Amino acid sequence: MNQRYYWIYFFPLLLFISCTSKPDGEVLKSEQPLKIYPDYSEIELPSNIAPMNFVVEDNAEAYYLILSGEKGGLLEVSSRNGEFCFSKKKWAKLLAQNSGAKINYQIYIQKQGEWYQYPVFSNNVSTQKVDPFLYYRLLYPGYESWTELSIVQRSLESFQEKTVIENNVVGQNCVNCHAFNAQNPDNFMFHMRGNLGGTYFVENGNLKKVNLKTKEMENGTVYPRWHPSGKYVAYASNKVVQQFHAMDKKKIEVSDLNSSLLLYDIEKNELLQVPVDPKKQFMDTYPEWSPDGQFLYFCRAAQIGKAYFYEDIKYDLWRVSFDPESRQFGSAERIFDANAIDKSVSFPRISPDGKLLVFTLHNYGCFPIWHKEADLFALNLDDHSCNQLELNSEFTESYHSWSSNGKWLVFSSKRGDGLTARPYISYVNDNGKASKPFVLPQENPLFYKDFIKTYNIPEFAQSDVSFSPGTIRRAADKKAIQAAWSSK
Amino acid sequence: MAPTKLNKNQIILFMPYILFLGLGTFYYNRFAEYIFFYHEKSSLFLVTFQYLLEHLRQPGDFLEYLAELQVSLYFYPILGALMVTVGICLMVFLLQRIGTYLSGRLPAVLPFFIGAVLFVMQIDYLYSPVNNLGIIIQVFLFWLTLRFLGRKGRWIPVAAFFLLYFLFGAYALIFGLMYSVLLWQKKQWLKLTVMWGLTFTFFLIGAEFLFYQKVETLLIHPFSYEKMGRQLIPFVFTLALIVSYPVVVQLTIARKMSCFAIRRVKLSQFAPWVILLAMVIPCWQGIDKKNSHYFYTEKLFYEQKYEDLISYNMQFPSNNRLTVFLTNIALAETGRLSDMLFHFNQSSDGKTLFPEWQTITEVLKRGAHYYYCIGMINEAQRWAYEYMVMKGNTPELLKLLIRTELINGNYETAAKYISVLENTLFYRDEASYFRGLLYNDSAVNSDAELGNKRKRDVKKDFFVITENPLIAVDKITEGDVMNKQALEYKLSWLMLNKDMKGVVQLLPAMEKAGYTRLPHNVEEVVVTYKLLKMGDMPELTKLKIDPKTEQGFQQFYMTFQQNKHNMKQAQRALFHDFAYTYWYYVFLGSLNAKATQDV
Repeated sequence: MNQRYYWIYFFPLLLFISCTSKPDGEVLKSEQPLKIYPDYSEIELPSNIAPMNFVVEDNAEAYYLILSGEKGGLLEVSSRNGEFCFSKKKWAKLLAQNSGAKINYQIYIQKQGEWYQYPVFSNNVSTQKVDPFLYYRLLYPGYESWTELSIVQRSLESFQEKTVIENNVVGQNCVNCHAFNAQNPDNFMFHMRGNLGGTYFVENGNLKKVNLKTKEMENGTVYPRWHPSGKYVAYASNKVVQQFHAMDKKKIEVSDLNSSLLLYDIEKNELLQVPVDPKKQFMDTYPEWSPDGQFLYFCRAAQIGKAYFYEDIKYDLWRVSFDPESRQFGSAERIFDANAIDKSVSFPRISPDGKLLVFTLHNYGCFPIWHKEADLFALNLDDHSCNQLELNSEFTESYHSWSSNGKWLVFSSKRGDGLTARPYISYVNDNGKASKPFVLPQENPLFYKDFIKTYNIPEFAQSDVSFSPGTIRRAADKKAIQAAWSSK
Repeated sequence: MAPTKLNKNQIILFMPYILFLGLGTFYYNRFAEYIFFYHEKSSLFLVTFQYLLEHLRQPGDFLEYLAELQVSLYFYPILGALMVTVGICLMVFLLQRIGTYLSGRLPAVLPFFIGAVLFVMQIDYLYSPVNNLGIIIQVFLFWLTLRFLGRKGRWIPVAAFFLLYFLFGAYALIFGLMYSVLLWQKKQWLKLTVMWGLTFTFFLIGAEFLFYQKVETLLIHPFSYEKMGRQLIPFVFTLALIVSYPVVVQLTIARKMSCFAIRRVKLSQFAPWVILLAMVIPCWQGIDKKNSHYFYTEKLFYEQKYEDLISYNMQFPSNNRLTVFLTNIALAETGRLSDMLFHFNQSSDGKTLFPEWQTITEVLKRGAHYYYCIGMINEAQRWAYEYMVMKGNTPELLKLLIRTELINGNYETAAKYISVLENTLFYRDEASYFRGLLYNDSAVNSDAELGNKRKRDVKKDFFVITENPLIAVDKITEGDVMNKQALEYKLSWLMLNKDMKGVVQLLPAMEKAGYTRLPHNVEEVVVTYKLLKMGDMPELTKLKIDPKTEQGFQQFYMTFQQNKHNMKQAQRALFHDFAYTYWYYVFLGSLNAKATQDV
């Protein structure tokens, strides 16, 4: 190649390299900590998490970051716009090298020609890995209408996102309520409403469409929870009413007018009432199995009358014993009296070791995602002591679920803007103490600033599951298998 | 220099184009400008790479992307008029070139006829620009193929046709069928088989693994009955003409027709002139005065030129329910709803006052503005948000979402919407203004519109019952006596219901709200109530009845009594002086025109 062509090719590269700013000479120290977005300072990281890309929220001429591990490893990144995006390979290597140790972020900023050094912040790299996949529903945090709804799978070890189900494939029917059995995609189900409606179960890699609404039932089935055996799914069957507030403080009120618990026997294709309320004195909802399958936990409020005040509806936490062999239930007992503290409980979720039950506590009702005051609380199932988790914010926290090793909790929080929920992940130690949570990292650190959809029901999973559009269409077009009602 | 014979021929050849271009642009800009306003306000094109990526998710989305780009330029209606006409001229020109290439002669009738039909169909405001754009691109690609690709080069469209299908969806079939005809004529069976085989395979793989859409949607998108303004027959007929065009131009009869001459003058060269002349009738008949009037009102409404809007509708009264609905909001915003309610053709069922909740997008689109006017910011936001979820972003509702979030102090969410607006072509200045208000309560309070709405927002919470909007007005006025807009709507509803007692009972509330004089229509109610001794009058301190109004009523009532056995005669006698009064509505209401039509 002619020598002048070398210049044409390499001169701009040289120019670029020479323009990459790095602190040299005198550096001034700033005592003020820098504001970064998302806030990834002083958090506990799973050792297999994707790069925690972030942006410095301070206008400057140049930015420089030295990321060093206690056990070794160094990443140096410069930036012109404050965005620090890490190489996936180098990031993974750094985390692997520092499992059980800290990684430290030292940021320098150049302003008016002077370099400033800011206080270091750190992340603890946990020895505990998080499940490699996160599933959630993406939708507009709207009121009644929908057009695009999708259940999405996101790799937590990279930024790869994949559609599992999208409602457009079946003519904009509403897709909702996805559920795994203990983070295992072999036991997976979701609901679809509309003309192609039904409950879809994964069976040997295929989708089976079942109609779980029988003539004996007043309402459809929602809030599914798999029995650990994979033989049963517990549901709530609710009559829901949606109302709209005129004032800004709250937007929507979603209340149940009545509700009860159902059990679906997958092998026998039978639905039966969970016999905990023969006199229909209560509204029972949000079922949850204990990891050994011996107890069904649920939320219970007194049945409301025709005239009711929505703020008076308060749910307590109850449980009932269950014998999976005989499908028999024992008598119900109250586990947590939320009424006594003038609060209401929803979304009980038990850790895989059966020690902790995390629920959402809010002022009233059973739909906390629109309650700003909703927070996550942990109930120790051995001594029934309860404490507010330290991961909460002044905005809504709800829709939580555990990782398969019981060390990580993912939940939806509206702390970003008060309207759209984002998935936050927190480490929960053996004493039930939760670490400062971090928002699901994105390749573009500013992603959440512009994204106007909400993350609904985030759930960890141990492996990959997705269906081709053709598979979904064929399953949807099939006639649903009608479940039978069983009175026993 | 005197023109040569060739120059003269070229002038004759291009004259119809020049005329078509000039008159077409003039016509659309002068008589059908509302089309561009409607389309421009119905979508929002974003200049981001992400937006482009979002339009590469299923076959035909890219064509929609291009159409949205075109529509965004309709911000300037003259540009819209020019684009539509230039597009059609280009297509006519290309069809002529294609005809010349295939038949050796210059066809005139069919290209101009097709152009004329497309031109006329576009007069319907519901006819989407995606249709003409889709057709023009396919004809252009076909011409490129004929003009520039040799025998080997013609494998390119064969191999790439599935990509055309991906980019342009069902519209790619126009090219596919035109090219197939050509291949069939030349007996190039291999190319024909490969082209459709590849595309069919791509379709099957795409439908099975790639595209989360219904199979029917994959086949026809972005073609739809609604997007062609429900002009199915002329549209399909035109498509059939275009697809069969390569065959038709080669038919013997077509050749003979193009050669048919009287005294060496080819009659076909007059065809464009005849077609242009014939277009005058459908173009004239196609001018949609009702919608033109409505969209002009809507334009003034969005520009918040309320005075102009009211004057325009007084000058050109409308029976259109939506027009009156927007006029009522303009009256309320300027504090004159109960002064001038009966200047406009109100619907006695209240539908010109209140929108009824329906998940029909056009209702949602307008209803939000009513709630915004009376200070129900949450509810305005809900209506606008529902529309956005169903139909995507539109400029005016996105701005309304920004305003409502700013009023509510939800700055983080407002910032998200502002980012969207910042990525548009023509709304960046407004986005910049809104951005300046972020996280700054005093700036929001100082803004004339937002500050006022913030003050007027609902003071006491209640659940909205959308089926009965009057309840909301009642609740607002109970919670905030100072909300004049809500009070005016309540008064108006009572007047429409001929509930004089209800109006009179609200007089103390009006005093509390700061009224220093009785609005005209309300005064007419009070006078009627008083002089006809319909009940007790509340004690008032500030509001006085003008004696002239009492005299007016006496005059009205006397004439009415004299003519009450012949209502038409009564109407004639009273119309001149009392047509816009409450009295006329109450006593002669059945003869008054009612707003019963929607856009």
